[in-house]
Amino acid sequence: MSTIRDKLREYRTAGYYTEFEYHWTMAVDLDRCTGCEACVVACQAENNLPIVGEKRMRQGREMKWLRIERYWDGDYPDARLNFIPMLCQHCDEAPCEIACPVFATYHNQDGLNAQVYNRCIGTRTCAVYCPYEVRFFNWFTYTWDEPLEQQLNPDVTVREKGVMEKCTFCVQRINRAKDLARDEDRRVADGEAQPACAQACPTDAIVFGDRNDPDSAVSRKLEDPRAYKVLEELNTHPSVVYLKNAREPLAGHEDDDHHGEESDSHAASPVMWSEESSEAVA
Amino acid sequence: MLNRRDIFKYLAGGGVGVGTGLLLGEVNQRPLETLLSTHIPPEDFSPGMDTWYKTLCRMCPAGCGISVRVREGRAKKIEGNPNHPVSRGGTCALGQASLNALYNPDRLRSPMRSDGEGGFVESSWKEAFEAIAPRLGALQSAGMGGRTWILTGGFLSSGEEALDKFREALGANVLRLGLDTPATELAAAKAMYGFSGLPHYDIGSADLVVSFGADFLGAWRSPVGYSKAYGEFRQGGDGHRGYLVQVEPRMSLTGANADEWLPARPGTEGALALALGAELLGRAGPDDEPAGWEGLPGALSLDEAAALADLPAERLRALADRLAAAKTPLVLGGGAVGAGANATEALTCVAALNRILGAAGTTVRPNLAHAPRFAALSDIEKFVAEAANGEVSLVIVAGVDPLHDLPHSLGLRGALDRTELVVALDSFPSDTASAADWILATDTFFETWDDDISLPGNGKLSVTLQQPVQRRLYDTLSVTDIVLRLAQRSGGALAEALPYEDAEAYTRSEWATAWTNLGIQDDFDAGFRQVQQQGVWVADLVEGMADEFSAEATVPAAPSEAQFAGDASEYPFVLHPFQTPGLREGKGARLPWIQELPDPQTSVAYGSWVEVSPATADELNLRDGDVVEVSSPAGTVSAPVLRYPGVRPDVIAMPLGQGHQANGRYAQGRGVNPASLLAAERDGKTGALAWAATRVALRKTGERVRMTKTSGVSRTLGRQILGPEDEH
Ligand code: SF4
Ligand code: SF4
Ligand code: SF4
Repeated sequence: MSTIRDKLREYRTAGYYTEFEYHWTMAVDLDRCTGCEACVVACQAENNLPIVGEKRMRQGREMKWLRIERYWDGDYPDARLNFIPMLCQHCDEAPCEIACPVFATYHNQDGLNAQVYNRCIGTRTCAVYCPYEVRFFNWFTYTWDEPLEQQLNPDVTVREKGVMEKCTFCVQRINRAKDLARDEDRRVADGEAQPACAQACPTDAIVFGDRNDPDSAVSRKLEDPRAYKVLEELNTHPSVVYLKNAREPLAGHEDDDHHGEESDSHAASPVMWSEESSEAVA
Repeated sequence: MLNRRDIFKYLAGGGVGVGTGLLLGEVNQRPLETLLSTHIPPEDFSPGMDTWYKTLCRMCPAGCGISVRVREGRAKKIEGNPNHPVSRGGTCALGQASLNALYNPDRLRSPMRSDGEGGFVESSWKEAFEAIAPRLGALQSAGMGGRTWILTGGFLSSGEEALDKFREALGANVLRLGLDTPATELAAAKAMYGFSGLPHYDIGSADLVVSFGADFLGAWRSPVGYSKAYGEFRQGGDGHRGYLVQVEPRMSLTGANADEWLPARPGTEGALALALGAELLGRAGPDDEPAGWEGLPGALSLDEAAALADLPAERLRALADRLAAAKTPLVLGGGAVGAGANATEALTCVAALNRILGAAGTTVRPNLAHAPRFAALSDIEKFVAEAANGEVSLVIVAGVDPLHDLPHSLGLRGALDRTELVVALDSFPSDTASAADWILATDTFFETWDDDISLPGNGKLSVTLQQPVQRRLYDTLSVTDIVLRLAQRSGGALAEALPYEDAEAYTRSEWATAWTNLGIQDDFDAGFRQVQQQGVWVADLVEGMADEFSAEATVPAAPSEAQFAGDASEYPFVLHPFQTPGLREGKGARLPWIQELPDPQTSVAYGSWVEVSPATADELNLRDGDVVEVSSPAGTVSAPVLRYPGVRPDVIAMPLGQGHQANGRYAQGRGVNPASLLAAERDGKTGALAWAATRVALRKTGERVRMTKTSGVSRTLGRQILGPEDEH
């Protein structure tokens, strides 16, 4: 008897994509990244992310396809803060895709983990399966205070209550570049398709491109000895590669397991929302 | 000192080596990416088509070039302008969010008249000019222009220039205001380098950067320009990796990225820099006398400096070793170090260290020999005193919000209350505008013409053009338009000084004059169109326009002991106010994307917090969310505690920028404003406002709140999220 997983493999290979037309990949150099969050706002602007408001945000309903995670090492005066931008890793073995009962989330011909909004029935299973906690559910239909809606990007669907959403690698920009290339009967040139985060980044920490092209800037980044993937041991085969920060480790403070501040010690997932905070008092 | 008018005029004499070629040929520091079409169609409305307009970001004085995507006549997205020599295609979080100002629901849509009871009623431009111009005309003809004060900022723009011509013709006074102005840095650069302008710090080509309090990656001077340079400093591709040391009492964004963070006791940074300088001088061979100084009288030994600054002596010795070994070292100072009672002395010691290191001329570069003159505390006091005596008839506030941003203890609110007529030129009902008799609703920078001189530090002058990217959304005018119309209606010298129809005609005329002076005889319209497409015009700094290092400098004196308002026994903590990359001094608070952006280091959004070191918090039994009352000799505010591992136990840090009394729904009544805690302290040398020289006390109120904070686990717990662990 075949399992869903077998079916999925079949869907993913035979007759579908034995290889990707482009293999879009992102490299994030943590030695350049300063945690400034220009990319976070750029993503919000490009992808019509809602303004959820203070109350919803406090409930953990923030919608940020890309966020900066912060990790402390050591204690005063040898305290150190580390930043890492976290977004959908566009896993080639994506746990979220296996989980969806209606295939609303699937892998496309370019290796992108895509979300079909009007197929999604809102079970939220994918968000549970995603080890990177980068899927966001629309618990409400968010609106914009007039005339803020005039800023909305006409190339990106505005989502409604009941669907899951997440980083698309700015697929609208990729498609635009591919259309243009197709019109000119060529492949998309390196650097031609840039997601909003990479374009905004003031330190050039984010490099995006096609891993199928061995000469692309991103392919060269993959060769860097500092390159690694987050939670690689889960065999998710992420398409986001990080280049490790080259700072010397803090003397006497290897990635320590001891707890941080009392308010921050309540769970062990890459991101935890303050909603669960045990000390929360209104 | 050169003023802005001279800069353009100066080009007349020294037009050698520049010509139309400089318009385009030299603007690109890196190859132009062909991502964005620079094609500008005859009209801004082609359904389904994107148009990209190059313009200027006016959210902060850095003056980055941006490119705005316009679709169906509406601005949609900000990108960096890759042609721009400062921002080089990058933007910051605040720049990205600037569209929220254009489409803000609480923007002013027409001129507003005070109803005398704290409210405003909609008015018209006709009514506004009819109410204001006659009073201006009367002041002018009575020769009483001195009863007018203009409160403005420090941009090097044609718009500021129009305002200045207006002031000059009227004989009015000006206050160039801001909390973190470069006044003390300018004084130090004058003393140590002989500059009239600000130095440029070439972080990109340094192999060691030691920053005394300057948060150049977060909110200091030119965050995008310095971030671009930082990328190269870290992973420039030539195999070298720069080493960053940050000296500051509270870990800023730059401190969070540093290889070493040294939490020196506030106010001791100058003595620390001087001690390092003396150590390096002592180590220098008999033949080389760095900076021409034999010694630094009054400098502490490294051990003494370590004790004073409360740092381990071996860390200072290691730092001296690094400085001695570095090939292209750079030290810089700013932030709270430039805002203490001994700020100029401290920054002078920092600059002296650059001379000793040989950095002056290599990683520290001269720039334009010009900077705006910012108001000293005594200028502000003069205004307040004259207002109190009933000697101020008219105040024009142009786009600044001093009632929010500056210490409330200065008494500016009372001064505006005592002024006969207060006219605010603003796009928002800011705290200051809300205290005016008239608010003249201004365009956002997306809707009008202007320009700004920026300082790329590469021996070039770069002027960024600001142009409308879409039609006005409402019945607004630009500051320049308003100034021109007021001048025309007032007649006399005012009308003569500013004979222009509107901001566009004026801006074009400024450029045309400059180019004529330069000897550029080509078709102006064609040249100007090219600048519109490129977004920026770059010229060589001709002789006399750029600063030059003085051959010698006097030996720096040991800084005096830092003084703080408030007695240490009553107020045990030093208050460290800081700017976040989004909120800055307060402009970001109106923008919902900024309110909803978690602070980089703490992940707090939508509010204020009080950073307390975990050790101090334990002592006072404070948990995250405990509301504390922070009081200083100047005032009291209450906000929740956040235990922050990167702050000294004797320092309390608070973000600036929130706590608006007005300013629209996203800002109003949110969080607290630490400006109300600041005492009216001053830098001993320049008299500039010392905003980091106040002590505070903490009191637990017993109340608890839930902060809006997105980050949960702040340790990696062995998950190797930051990369595989090295073998130890
Ligand atoms: S914009 Fe660049 S430097 Fe800033 S947080 Fe994002 S990736 Fe990091
Ligand atoms: S990161 Fe999460 S959402 Fe993205 S592909 Fe992987 S499992 Fe799916
Ligand atoms: S630093 Fe940011 S806010 Fe300032 S001008 Fe540049 S993009 Fe605008």
